[in-house]
Parts: sequence; structure tokens; C-alpha cells
Amino acid sequence: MKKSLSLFAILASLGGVAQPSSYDAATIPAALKEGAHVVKRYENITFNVKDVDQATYSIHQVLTVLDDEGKEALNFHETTSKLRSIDDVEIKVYDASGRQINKFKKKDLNKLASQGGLVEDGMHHFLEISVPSYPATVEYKYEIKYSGTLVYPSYIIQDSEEAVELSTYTAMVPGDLDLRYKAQKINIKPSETFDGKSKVYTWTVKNMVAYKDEEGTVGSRFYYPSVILAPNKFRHFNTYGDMSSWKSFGQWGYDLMKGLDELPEERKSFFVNLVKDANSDREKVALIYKYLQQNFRYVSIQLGIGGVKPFPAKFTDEKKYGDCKGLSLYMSAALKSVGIKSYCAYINARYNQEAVAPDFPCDRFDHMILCVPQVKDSIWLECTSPTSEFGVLGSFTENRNALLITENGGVLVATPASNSSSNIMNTTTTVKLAEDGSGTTETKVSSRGDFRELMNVVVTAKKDEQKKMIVRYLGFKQPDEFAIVKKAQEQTLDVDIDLSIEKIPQFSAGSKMFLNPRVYDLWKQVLPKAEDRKQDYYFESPFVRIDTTVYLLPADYVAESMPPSSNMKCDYGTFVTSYSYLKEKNQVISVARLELLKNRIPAAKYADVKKFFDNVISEDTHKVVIKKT
Amino acid sequence: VGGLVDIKEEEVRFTDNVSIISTLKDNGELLGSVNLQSGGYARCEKVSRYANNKSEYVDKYIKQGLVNVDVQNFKIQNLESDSLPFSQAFEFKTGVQSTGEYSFLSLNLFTGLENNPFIVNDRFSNVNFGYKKSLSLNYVINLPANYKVDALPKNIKLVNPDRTVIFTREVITAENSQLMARVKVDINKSLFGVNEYDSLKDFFKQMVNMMNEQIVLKKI
Repeated sequence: MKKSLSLFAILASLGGVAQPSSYDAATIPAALKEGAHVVKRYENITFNVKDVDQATYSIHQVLTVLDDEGKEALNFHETTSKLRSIDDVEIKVYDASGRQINKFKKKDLNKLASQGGLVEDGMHHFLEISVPSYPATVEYKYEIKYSGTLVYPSYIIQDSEEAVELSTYTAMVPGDLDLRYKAQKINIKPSETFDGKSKVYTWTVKNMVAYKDEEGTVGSRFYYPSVILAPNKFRHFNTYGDMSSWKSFGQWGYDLMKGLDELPEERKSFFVNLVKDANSDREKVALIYKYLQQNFRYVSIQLGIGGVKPFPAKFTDEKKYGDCKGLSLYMSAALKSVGIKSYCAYINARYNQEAVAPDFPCDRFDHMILCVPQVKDSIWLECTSPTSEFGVLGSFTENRNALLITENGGVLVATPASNSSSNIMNTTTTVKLAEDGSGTTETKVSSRGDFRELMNVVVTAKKDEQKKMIVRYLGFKQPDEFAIVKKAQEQTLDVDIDLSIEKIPQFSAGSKMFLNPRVYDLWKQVLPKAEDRKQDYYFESPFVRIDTTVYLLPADYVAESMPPSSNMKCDYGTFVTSYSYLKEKNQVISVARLELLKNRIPAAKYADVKKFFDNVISEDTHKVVIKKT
Repeated sequence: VGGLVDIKEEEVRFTDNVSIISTLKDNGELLGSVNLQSGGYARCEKVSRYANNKSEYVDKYIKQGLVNVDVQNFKIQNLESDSLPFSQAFEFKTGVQSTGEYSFLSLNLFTGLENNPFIVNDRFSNVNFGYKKSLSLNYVINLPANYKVDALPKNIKLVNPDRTVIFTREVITAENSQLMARVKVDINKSLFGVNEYDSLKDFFKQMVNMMNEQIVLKKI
């Protein structure tokens, strides 16, 4: 009783955050080691906003790495920039019993200029710590100084396969600035105090058992149990903004771009002339978008105001390159010159992202696209891609919220939902099969969306690379000779692929040949296991694959057995095949259609979808049996 | 004493021995047990994969590329004994694919030999396997009374021009109720010059084709 009272007294005196007196790994409760490779023994983070342009972030972490699979925790890594510097680094390493065995300072860290874009002005600071055996404990103590406050650091509570013994995050902010917060994948509330000058928010967690990351989930920043913080007022380089609403945050974005969308008169006339024969705004936008795709290149340049202020349209016009902001703004300027209104929009990119929360204005964006409002169905444009289909964003930015930057401030709107019919691969193949099993195949491909991007890579690759892609991406057998010819490129990219293959059948035995249902894979990706799935699964995009394969049999062969036709279904997809033998022409015709309706599969439905795709792969192991007469 | 040490490649340094004993049920279900012994660098490779991700080793490596295969009772031995082969044993359950009256049994389960690593026509650097390698697969398949063998993959020995890469396959039936098969891949040279690339590529192409040949059964 006495013991627990004194422990209580220590906890109370330190505001509930008692640093462990020993780093002996043997003292970790068994429940916390269950499923964990790392145990966060102690963490005390203080984020102290001193003013709108000044903050410090002090970290003190003690992590015990239980085994080799947790060694990632022994890699120290922080990035710095003009707005972020690192100081007072102290790293100590302890053995299993908690005896100190090594120590590092800031001067021991490796430094590397960050190379994310073509040009950046940041720096990585990192250290890979090696330990002779596990368990081993590492203690990190350091401080980051911020001179810009656009982004407040999130409280990332728990990583995959990591248990947390005790962790606390304190955010201090002057009362007149205050801050906003939102808990993500965890139900947690802070304690709040106000000392007359600053508001202090404190979140504390104790004894959280490990969980396991799953394959194919939402991007990590939407995944971890964490608390997202956002400023109300911020300073970014020499600009000041208000993030308390989407409207005010968008206003800041608008002010950054104001006046940059002006083009010289002769360039305006050029665009007027370019669209003079167009009958509608939509046609005009399409013509200018095509001009942009054919004449401009995407280059990532994060100089200037930290990746948020675009280069002027005039500059982009002269250089013929730009990043997402530069190209979107340029497209907007070109449309303006023909009297069409458009808005640049902030968005978070990649297929596995959630929509930003409408009720929590915050800068979680990393990309810019363009929206051209229309009476019906706005036109959305991805301005960085020379190959994207006009008016189709793709799953890179569909299914989420974009912040339109308008003269009246920001407006959060939904981008279009992904649609399977935007991503179509339609193939028709004629296989001429010789008596010795060799043969030629002629495939006509018509591709849209993601498949069009893939086919574009294939047709523009070098010959030997093409050969690899035929086998590895398109799933054909290894050809001896081949020809790939691009036929047409409008809404679809049409390509002819002709191969000569030494051995068409999967195998031959005696007087029989055993042919695969098709000469390539419709689908071969084995989805990750389904047991105990807790998170939604993300496919890159919904799609339709349609195939017709016609086998022209050798003269003295006939079809003996055909695979059964199939009709498989799950809530998110369908797969239909049919097989027929045309006796008079001596042809075997195989038809298949595979459709995935949505790219995001709820965890509860994942097992069905996994089973469905496993069965699609299994169907492909059926054989068409042909026999010599 | 002193002097130079000759670096010779006399011993096979990478060995994988797989033994698969399976029974086909009369309903088309295939049940079996597998014992995989990995020695030398094969041991290093597998132990490192295992140590880096124990919980997903079966899904990621054992079941690599396979669907509708259920693996149970996965057990390992000799994880810590450096001088002994890393032993992995498990039981599996799957179904045979049937088309009409024919059913097909693959000899390419748990081998990782689905794809030819050599596809491009032009190669400018040597192919260095690093060491001599050996993969040996032994199958015993018990058949139910209602299936009979219709066709077997041919017994074959495939060799490259200097006989340093050898693929052998023997399939025999012991009465009508049991099949036995042995597949062996020996790479008896670690370094192949660019001038040998064409024959190596062709060898692997043929071998992958042969690995995909199946046993054809007929339901009676």
C-alpha cells in the first residue's frame, strides 16, 4: 500500500509522466511484448508554440527493441529545412539489463542533402545504430526549432508492432493563437489548462498493446493512431495565414498566387486562335489541355516558398516545364485568356488516401490539380501528366476532397468517384497454332485509364525492355520474336502486339495438347491474406478487362475438352468466361470479362474479394484439351 | 608457410531439397506434407527472410504465387544451428483443377521456378550466381482408385553446351495408385560469361516450360 502511494506521489509531481528509473528490458510487462518488436517505454514530447512564427518541439523517447524485426527503431532520422532546425541531440544506447553501452551527439549524425525533387533545399540527419544483441534500448533526446508554423507536428502515438508503456504529448500555445486537434484511429481527449497566457493541452496514453500493420491499407499518415494538430494562425516564410476555416486557408493560397496567372498578349492571342473553331467550352478546354500535354514537362522544383507558391505563368510559358502548381496555374492562365474560369485546387495524392476531414481545416495536401466549373459536371484536370485522358483524374486524386482556391477563399469540394469504365483493357487475340506446338499470336489492345498509362510505357520502351514487359507486365509467354505497333491514341490507346512463340500449349502429351484459356494472365496478383483483416484494402483503381482469344487449331487437331464457362461474383466484382468450339472453322473461342467495381474494399468484405480473385487465378489453370485425329 | 590461397568452387554452396508427399482424394482434394531443407547460402537466404518477418514467412515465401492452397502446421528446425540445413516442414491442402474428364497435377508447387529470370536478348555483363547451386524436388503422390494416369511429363535430361547446368526429371508410376517424381536442377558453375548468355537464357526458357508441364489424370 505504501509503495503504491509513493508511486502515485511521483506521478503527480511530474504531471503524470514519470521517466522510468531503469531501462532493464526484463521489467517490461509480458502483455506489452505480445506481438511487439519494439516497446515504447517512455515518451515525452513538448510542442511549444511561442508565437505565430516560432515554436520548439522537444522529444524524449526511450524505445526497447526486442528483436531483429524491430531494428528500424534504431535508425534515427530527422529532416531540416529553412523553417526547421535540429539541436541538442543526445542518443544513448543500453543493453538488455539497462547498462549504457554507447552514446552519440549531433556531430555523430550523418548529413545528406534531400533529393526528393529535382532541387530542394532540405537536409536529412540520420544515424544507423547497431547493437550486439537484443533486447536493446535506445534513448533519443533532441529539439527541433520551427520558424514557420504552417504544419504543427502530429502526435503519432503508435507504430505497427510497437507497444506503448507510457507516452505523453504536450502542446503549449499562446491563448490568442490557440490550436485545433483531431484524433485519428484512436479515441483520446487531452487535458486542457490555461495559465492566463498559454493554453496547455496534454494527451497521455499508457499500456497500449501492439497492433499489426496490414498490406494494401490507406497511406500511413491516415493510418497510425495519432492526434493531428492544426494552427489557427500561421506564418510560412514571409506570409501570414489563417487556417481556422477552409475559406480563410484558401484565401491565403489565393493571395500567394494572385497576379501570377498573367500571360503576354501574344500568348493570349495564341490560345484564342487555338480554340477558334471549338464549339463549346469543353472542347476549348480539351484543346488547350492537349497543347499543355504535348508541349510541357513536369519537373518537381520545391524552391521558393516551401513548395506552395507556384512560378508565374509567364515563366512556365517560357521554360515549358513546371511542377504541379506551376503547370496547374499555367493551364488556368491559358484558360483565362480564352475567357474560361478555372480554379487551382490543393489535394492529397495517391490511390490509397482518405478524403481530408471537412470539419478540420488542416494542410494535409501535397499536390495541385485544376477544376474547370461547368453548369453540369466540372472538368477536372491532372496537369502534370502528358498521357492522362482529358477530364479523367484517375485514382491518384479521385474519391476525396480538394480545396478550390478561389477569389472568395477556399471551397472544399469532392473530386469525382473512380469508375471502373475509366480503366479498360480490351484485348482480342488470334492464335495460329502449328502442329509442333509453336505458333504466332496477334493481339489488338485497346486501353484506357491506368491500362493506357501502362501501354504507353510499353510502346515507348526500348525493344529489350518491351520484351520484359510483355512477359512481366502483360503476362504473355516468353516470345522468340515480337512486334509492338502503336495504332491510335484518342480516348483509348490502341496497340497491336504480335508474337511468335516456340511453345504455345502449357504442355503436350502423346496426341494431345493442353492449352491455357488465354495466352496471357488476365489477373495474377495474389492478394494478401484475409484472416482477421481490420483495415480496408485499396486496389490501385477499379477496372474492366475484356478478352477474346481465338485459337486456330492445326488442321488435323480437334477440340476434345473445354473448360466449363464460369460466372463468379462478389459484392465488388464480376468474372464471366465462356468457351466454345466452332467445328466448321476448327476454332476454339475463349471470352472473358473481369470487372472490379470499386478500389476501396471495406475490411469486412475483404475476405470475399480475396476469395473472388483467388478463384479468378484458379480459373486460368483450366485447360483446353485438343487432340490429333 | 604463406603463399596464395586458390579460390576454387568445388563445393555446391546452395542446396534446397524439397520432399512432397501427397494424397489425392477421390473428391479431387490434394492433401500433403512438405519438408524443405535449405543448406549453405539457401539456408542464409531463407533464415534471413524468416528472421525479418516470421509472421508472414508462410504467406510471403512458402505460398508465393499460389492461390487456394492452405498451409498448416508450419514448423522450423535448426534456426540457430549454423552448420545444419534450415528445415521447414508443413502440411498443405489444395484442389486439383479439372477440365472435362481430365485433372491436372502440377510438379511446380513450392519451388519458386515459375518465371525465367533471363528474358532480354542483349546482355552486357556476366551472369554471376555467386556459387554452385542445387535444387532437388522429390514427389510421392498417392492416387485414389477412381483416377488413372492419362499422361505423364517425359523423363528428360536437359543440359547446356558445357554441361554445367543440368535439369533432370523422372516420373514413374508404381502400379496405378502411386506416382513418384524427381526433379533436379544443378548449376555447377557460378560465373557465366556474356558469350554464354544466349544458351543460358534458352536453357532457362526450356526449363521453365518443362516445370509447367503437368501430370494428366483421367477420372474413371
